[in-house]
Amino acid sequence: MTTQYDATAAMEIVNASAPGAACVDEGVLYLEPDTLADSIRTLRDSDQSDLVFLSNLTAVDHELHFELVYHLQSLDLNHILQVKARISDREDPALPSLTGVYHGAHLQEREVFDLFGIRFEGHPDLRRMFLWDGFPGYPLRKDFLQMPGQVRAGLPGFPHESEENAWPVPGSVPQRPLHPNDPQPEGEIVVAEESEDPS
Amino acid sequence: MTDLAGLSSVLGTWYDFRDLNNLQRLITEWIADWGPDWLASIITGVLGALGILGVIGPTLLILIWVERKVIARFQQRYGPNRVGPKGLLQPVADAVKLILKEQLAPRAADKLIFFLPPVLIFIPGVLIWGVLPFGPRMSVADLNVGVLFLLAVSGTAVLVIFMAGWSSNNKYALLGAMRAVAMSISYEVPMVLALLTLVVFSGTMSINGIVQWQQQEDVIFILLFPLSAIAFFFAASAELNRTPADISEAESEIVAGYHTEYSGMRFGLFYAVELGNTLVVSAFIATFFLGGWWLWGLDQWVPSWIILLAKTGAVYFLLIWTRGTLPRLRVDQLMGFCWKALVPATLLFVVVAFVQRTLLISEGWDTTVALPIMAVFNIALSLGAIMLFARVARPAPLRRPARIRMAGADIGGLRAAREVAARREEPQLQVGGD
Amino acid sequence: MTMSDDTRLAMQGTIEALTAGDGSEPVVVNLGPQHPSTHGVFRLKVTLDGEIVQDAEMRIGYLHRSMEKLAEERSYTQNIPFTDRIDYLAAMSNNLAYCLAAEELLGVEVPPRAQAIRVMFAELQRVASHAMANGTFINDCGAWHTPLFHMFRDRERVLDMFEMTCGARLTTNYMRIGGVAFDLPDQLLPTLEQFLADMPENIANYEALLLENEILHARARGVGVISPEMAINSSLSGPVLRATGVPWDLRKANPYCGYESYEFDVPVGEQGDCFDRFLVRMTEVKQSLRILRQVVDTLPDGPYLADVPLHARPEPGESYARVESPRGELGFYLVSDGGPAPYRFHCRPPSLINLSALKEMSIGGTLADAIVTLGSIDIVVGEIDR
Repeated sequence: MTTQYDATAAMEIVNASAPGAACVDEGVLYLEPDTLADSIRTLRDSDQSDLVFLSNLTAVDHELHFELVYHLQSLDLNHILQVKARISDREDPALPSLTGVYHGAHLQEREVFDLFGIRFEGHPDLRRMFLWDGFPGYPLRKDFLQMPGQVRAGLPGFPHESEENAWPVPGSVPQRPLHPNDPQPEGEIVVAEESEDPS
Repeated sequence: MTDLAGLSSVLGTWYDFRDLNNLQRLITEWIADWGPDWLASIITGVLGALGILGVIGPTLLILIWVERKVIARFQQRYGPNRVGPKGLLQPVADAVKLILKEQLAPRAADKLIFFLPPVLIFIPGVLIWGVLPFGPRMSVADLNVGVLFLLAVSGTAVLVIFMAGWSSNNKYALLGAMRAVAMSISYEVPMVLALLTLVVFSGTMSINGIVQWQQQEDVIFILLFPLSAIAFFFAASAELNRTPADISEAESEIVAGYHTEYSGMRFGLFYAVELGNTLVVSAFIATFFLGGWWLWGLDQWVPSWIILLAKTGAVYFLLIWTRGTLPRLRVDQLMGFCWKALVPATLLFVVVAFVQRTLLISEGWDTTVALPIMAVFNIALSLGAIMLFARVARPAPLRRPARIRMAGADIGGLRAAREVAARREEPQLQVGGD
Repeated sequence: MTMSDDTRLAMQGTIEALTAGDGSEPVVVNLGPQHPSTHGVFRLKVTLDGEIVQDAEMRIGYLHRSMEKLAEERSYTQNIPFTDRIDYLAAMSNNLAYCLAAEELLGVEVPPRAQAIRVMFAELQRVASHAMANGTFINDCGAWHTPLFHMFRDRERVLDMFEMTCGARLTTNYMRIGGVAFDLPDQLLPTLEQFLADMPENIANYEALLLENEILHARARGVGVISPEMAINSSLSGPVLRATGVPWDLRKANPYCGYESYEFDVPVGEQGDCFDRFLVRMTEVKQSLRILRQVVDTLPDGPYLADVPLHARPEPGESYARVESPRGELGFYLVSDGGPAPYRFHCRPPSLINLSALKEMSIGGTLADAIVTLGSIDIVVGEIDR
């Protein structure tokens, strides 16, 4: 059975070589974005952690910040560690690329760049992967093609639930925003305004 | 080897269907009554050509059906079974569909050179039929250098293929054409050498002469020179672009090779010629190595052309069989096989044929005794050569067996991999290797 | 480095030396997006020097349907049909992985019968998917569809069983959060028994036809080789990883759905070439049949679906569940913010990540080798692009 690798132990390994590069919050290991690649290299090469296999690399848009999520796996010791890194710059989010540590990060980082617009410094071939060059906006960001007046993209609630969660009644549906493929108005980018924080 | 004893029983009348040549003789004599000699030879020649063309067309339609049915049976399918009885009219429907389809040409294609090949490719495809002997006196042109004619004409097809590939202005087509040229040039060498063996041994370049030699000596050449026959079969299937040597139109690599850009009936013509060539090559393999229209006296009772057709069908089935069973070789492997295996093997048997022929003539050996001995010797030599090749020329990765082990309780990364690999127990699966 | 690599490098060097001064330049050939060997709309841009591949670059996205964005607007149950369309050749495995992730978020206990049924269909799916993978692989080696059609016969029977159970053949939508959608129909177990009885003979036939075929050996041995170190570093998984000799199988390493109670073994290769990948798949089919046999023999009674509200709102949190799909490690990463739909829905696609090393495997080989290598990785474009 794959066990969860202790985040505190991982923090100690990272901090032993680069003090202050890692911290643990509610059992999750957070790494400093600037030294991310080096920290993960330390975790990979350490005999205790032995996290040689990059299982998953993705990002989550938390509206105020982006959270990069890495699932690192040790095959021989059979444990997995979830590592996170936060970037709060929404204009030009960037952090070091893992391609020097894991060759398998290559395509996954391109995917994150394509869909979130997060730049990976040091990536040898950072181009859009699924969408074409010049596609306006980054679809997996929460503010992409946001419905006006809506707190946030996504399913607001189930039909039987309370009034404020209910699906909009017919006639109150707001105007559909322009799709990137629609004829664009002059000099305007379609990506919607940044929304308020729901909390 | 002139007037054959067996043929005295042929009636010699025009309705004797065992030898359709009588019909030609009748026409010639009838024209000679009132016209000049040259007119007679022209008219009979034209009639023969029309006869061949009239036979090829329907035969091709049936062949498409046969090939699709047989391949379907190999693949556990039914094959065409909707149009007409047993799906027999499916090729007709396909042909009609191809004729009605739009003829596309790439905008950047070299138009004239692009339009010519589907027509030109028919010329060698039809000309070859002219020298095929359907019976002792049944061939449109019984040339005394028939073998030479066959090789010369079949060699010109590659020029047309290169025209098609080059003018399409398509990279797949160009790659396919280049592969076809490289392969055609290479595989013509073992083909020529295999035929040279027969020419040397039988002492004639006439195709009918080679058949008559086999009849006279009561032996078919595949028994005397089995390796040459195998080499010729493989080289011919390579020239025909059929698996395992269909690299010039390898579907999974270069889509359709040189005829990628051809649509409608232009593609249909390429396809038809390819099938026709397959049939005629099967007929020539049957003629050279299986005794052609002759079959140990049976040709006295059954029309000779039916015997030839039966043998052709057998060879054709073999070609379909290899196509339905084998994967394709890579370009370098195919070239390597030609130059490293087929050419030395066929060359060896040219030398053997020279020596044995010289012995037969100078020593005056009795052929009824000498030929079986030579056949046994040659078969043994062929087997030895094949085994030697299989041992010596095997590429390095193939000499080690491929092994599958079971991980058992060792699950993990590199450390577990080393532990599994270090186990002494027998692997679960072991294939290949020396 | 094997001998063939040396030969190939020497060949490449010779060609470079010959073409150095004559102004010849490499040809860029696009394999795809419409091409017989790319198994869908996948485009491989290869730079060729003669027949030798100098560079290989993949262009994808032709089938991108933005699954991950769409899933953020649908409830957890509504997202199950999306997972079918991610990997349409292994829909059951995708259903399963997503449901495991959602169950982890919701804290659902799955009844034992549902667990067994899930294992049964995941393994049937593996048999079907490997039949397809091996068949198309031999096709890419240039065989004229014969092995493919023979293997399709088995796949057809598996799909028939899917149809009689859930009404669909490809996009099954069978697993549910907390179990499976329907109980097994009466005629399924007899059909499965017959299938299990027939399969050993079929597999023996394929082995007789293919395993000692010299041409197949010549085409696939020593081609597309990757070392175990590089394979792990490139995050490869599934048969591609196991062919290099690394015994990593999530069914053993992190058993889910009660895989720990079934006896089976993990086949590993030695060389990490295309032929080993093919052999690993052939052997895995036999192990899947072994598991199926045990599932049928020990199928428990009881409910097939836990009591899970259709309109579930999980607590805020996240989950990452992985299964061993026929193509490798298939993971779903879900983030919940307490809402009715996932806040983030991410699929770890084995097909895409297994392509990480495609360039390294292809360069230096011939064009035909690149095709065989691509075929041996067994990609599904729906999963690559999502």
